[in-house]
Amino acid sequence: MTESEQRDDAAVAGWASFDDFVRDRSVALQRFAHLLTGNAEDAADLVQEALTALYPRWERVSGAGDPEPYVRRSIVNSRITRWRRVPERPATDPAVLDAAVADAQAAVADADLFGRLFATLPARQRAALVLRFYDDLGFAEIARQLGCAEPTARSLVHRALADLRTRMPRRGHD
Amino acid sequence: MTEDSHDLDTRRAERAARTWFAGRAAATDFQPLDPEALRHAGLARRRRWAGAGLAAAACLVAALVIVPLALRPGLTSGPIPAEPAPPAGFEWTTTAPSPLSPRFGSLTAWLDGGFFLVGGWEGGPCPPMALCDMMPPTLTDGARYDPSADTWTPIADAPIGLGRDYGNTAVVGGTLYVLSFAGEGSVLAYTAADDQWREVATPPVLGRLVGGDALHLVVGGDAATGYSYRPEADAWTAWPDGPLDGCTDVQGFAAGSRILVLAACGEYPDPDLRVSSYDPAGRTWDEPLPLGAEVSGPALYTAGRLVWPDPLTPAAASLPSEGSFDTTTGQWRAVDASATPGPLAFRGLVGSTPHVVLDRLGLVAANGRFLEAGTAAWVDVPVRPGPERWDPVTAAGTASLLQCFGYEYADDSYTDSSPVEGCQLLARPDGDDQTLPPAPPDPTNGPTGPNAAWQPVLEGVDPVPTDPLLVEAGGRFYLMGGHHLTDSLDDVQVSDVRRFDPATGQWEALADLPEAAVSRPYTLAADAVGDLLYVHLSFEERGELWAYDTVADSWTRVGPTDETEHYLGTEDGLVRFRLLGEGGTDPAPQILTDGTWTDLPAPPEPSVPATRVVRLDDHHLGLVSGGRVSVLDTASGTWGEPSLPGEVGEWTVAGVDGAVVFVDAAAGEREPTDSRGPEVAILRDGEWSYVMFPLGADAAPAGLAPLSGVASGHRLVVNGRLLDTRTGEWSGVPALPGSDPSWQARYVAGGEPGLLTCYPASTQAGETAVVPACYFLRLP
Repeated sequence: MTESEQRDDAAVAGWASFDDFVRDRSVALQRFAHLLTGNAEDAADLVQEALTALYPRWERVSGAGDPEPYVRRSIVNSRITRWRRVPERPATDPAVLDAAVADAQAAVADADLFGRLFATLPARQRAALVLRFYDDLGFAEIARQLGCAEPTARSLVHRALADLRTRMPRRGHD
Repeated sequence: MTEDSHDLDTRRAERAARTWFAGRAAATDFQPLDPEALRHAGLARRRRWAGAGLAAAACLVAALVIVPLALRPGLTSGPIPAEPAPPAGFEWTTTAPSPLSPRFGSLTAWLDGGFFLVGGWEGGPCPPMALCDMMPPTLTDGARYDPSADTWTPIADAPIGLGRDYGNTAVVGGTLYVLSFAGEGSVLAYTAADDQWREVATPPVLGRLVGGDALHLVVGGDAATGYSYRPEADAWTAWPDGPLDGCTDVQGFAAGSRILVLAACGEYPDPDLRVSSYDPAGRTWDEPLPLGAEVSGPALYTAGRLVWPDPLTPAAASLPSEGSFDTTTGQWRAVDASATPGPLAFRGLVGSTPHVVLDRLGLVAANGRFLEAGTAAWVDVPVRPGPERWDPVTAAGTASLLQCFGYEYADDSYTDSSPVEGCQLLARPDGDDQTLPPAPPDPTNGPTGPNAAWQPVLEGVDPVPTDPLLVEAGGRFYLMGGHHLTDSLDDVQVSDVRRFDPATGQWEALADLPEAAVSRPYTLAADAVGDLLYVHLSFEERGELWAYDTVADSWTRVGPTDETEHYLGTEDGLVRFRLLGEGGTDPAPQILTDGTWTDLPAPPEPSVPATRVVRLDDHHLGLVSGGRVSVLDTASGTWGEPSLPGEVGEWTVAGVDGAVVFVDAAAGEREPTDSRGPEVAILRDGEWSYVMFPLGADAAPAGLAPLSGVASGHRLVVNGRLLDTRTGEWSGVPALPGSDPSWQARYVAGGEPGLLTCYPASTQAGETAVVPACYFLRLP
């Protein structure tokens, strides 16, 4: 059973309590936050912050359905707020990137490049990419997680990919 | 089929994404978080947001059902902190010896800077949960304790025995009133100034006294909901019919000059709890607020909130515990009711007996400790030194607690059948001064108390104009122009100009609108630059710009305008932009200072044409192009770099307190259970943040919904609520007086003092009714 299937099952069953939700989902949420931030400590902080904010609202949020989208959105939004305190990593000069990846194995080099470019994307685009290419969610589910319309979810992913495509160095295709 | 390079690049980017994510995820090993720590942190964080001055710590442990006889701290079997949570600066001190004999069940009050204890019963003990005080109280003597001097002063004996459950008290100025249920009932008044008791008129029915600016009584049931005492006539007057007539379990609380009344309305077993505010001076009621929850037992009121102590104990864990209820916004704040009883529990403060409110600190006693009503955070208190005592006489001051006598208790039994001597005071050593939260705001001012309301400031306008200009400048509001249809269906220009000053509450007639060389009726827009109010008068595509001198009360023509021009003022001058939309690039703006137009640099080249301009503060304007904003410093005439794009669509834009705020106006119309993303995006100092519309929020009260874009200071009206753009916190806005859900506030202006709205309208069954009045809402 995939992680998303596990989550879906639990969401349908309903979380018995805030404590159960934290015990069952906090690892996955930390992983999600880690992919957004690139820093494990930041990730733990963000998830703690989001769950801390959830606790007083637990009855209302869980009563309205699966609380995980609410928490993910809190993580994404608090990530945005954190930008005000922690300067964003500056965008990397494409010319420098070209030189850096020139002699690396193609797929690994692309992944490494992706990681550096990923850090420069807006938070919601990052979140959409994580949900799409790590959690393997469909656009309808991405929309539910991020609290937006499905076309918006598609747009977030496609805009992000378009941005990456323009910044990836051209090379011969297989 | 051959894939094009676009598709290949896309697949390459996708593959790179998957590889990188998988690698990152595999490189870390996270552990599940600790739910208990998160719960602690949640409550502690709420205190920081509320700006509480108390350095309190939440003392939460796993919930247990506690048997009353095992209420002493340390006897619970669940996990408890190894160290007691640090108290919020409270300390116990033993007072000077009391002149009163040890007793239980005295009536207590805080009056004239001191604690008053009077009456009670001798003997005992009265074990927990027992009903010992069923016979009328026998004691009539009393004493006053002055905590500032640590002195006791006996007071005159009451004419009859007084005690808890046989009466209740209220304080009005320097007079203590006691309603005694003994016999057929009587009301006694004790005045501290002359140390005298006297009997005053008995109300038509017995109920509960409420003291504020005057003495009142709340009753409920078939009688009037309440009565007010008129000392000059020594008589009681029934309140007028109100929204809580016929309701039961009525409780009343003094809230400034008004009385907050809580009652259960509707049929048992599902009564509907409601709260309404009664104004004794005007003899008027506010529209009741439904609580939307079932809560049991007596309520306590402080800091604008109602708290029910009884459900907040492990023994009552099966009872619903919504938390604290904000009587202005109608919002609940959850309270964790799972805490082991605190040190005060053993002294009878487990539930609501006796009721203890430290009003200056916004604290109520519940579950053996204090609860901060505003933040719903628990405040621990230190264990009182000395042997444990059950059921002492407890008196609440505004910021301290006095406890006297009680029964020694050890190993689940009483060691003595008589109360013991002595009193202790629980207070902060530095008094209730700078380090404490401010006293709850006077609810007669501002929207934070139950009296927050739109005040009518202009009534009987005839005729009521359509499309007047309502604008704030320099802390005052200008209402000008508009038009109306005569009986002969002529559309006539209204040339009146008036100014409203919130500081005085007065309107002033000013010089009429000028005669512009455009057709009437004018469409008006205005913006302020210092003492000048620049007003754009237009009719279709033609217009003129005039400057109104708010000091000289005179108009000066500036010049003709065209429809592509947008004018915005800062303290540096009036800036003119030409926004051509899709039709072309935007030429450089110009600024008008001292009657002369000067060119400013062109804005940075945007990827899409600019569509809107907003005023950010006294020296900055924001030019909006899609989701990007370029800021013009009008003092230096320089542009900043365009911001990163925000996650916004064609949202409403406003400049508020130096920030650009985008509002998804459709957000508030969605169902609260819809999962939705941020509805407000705020760009401040180049950084974006997002705020979600309150989850589960009820529909905004009639009047201001769905209005968005009006600002007051750093607050923005969004879908009928106020958003603090600095903190992201939401607060409610009261409904317009007498409004129903169809009311719409058509013309609204905001400024530092508050919001002004004129001529609200309601459309029902195709008929539109316009109120010929203006209303002002003062904001703190």
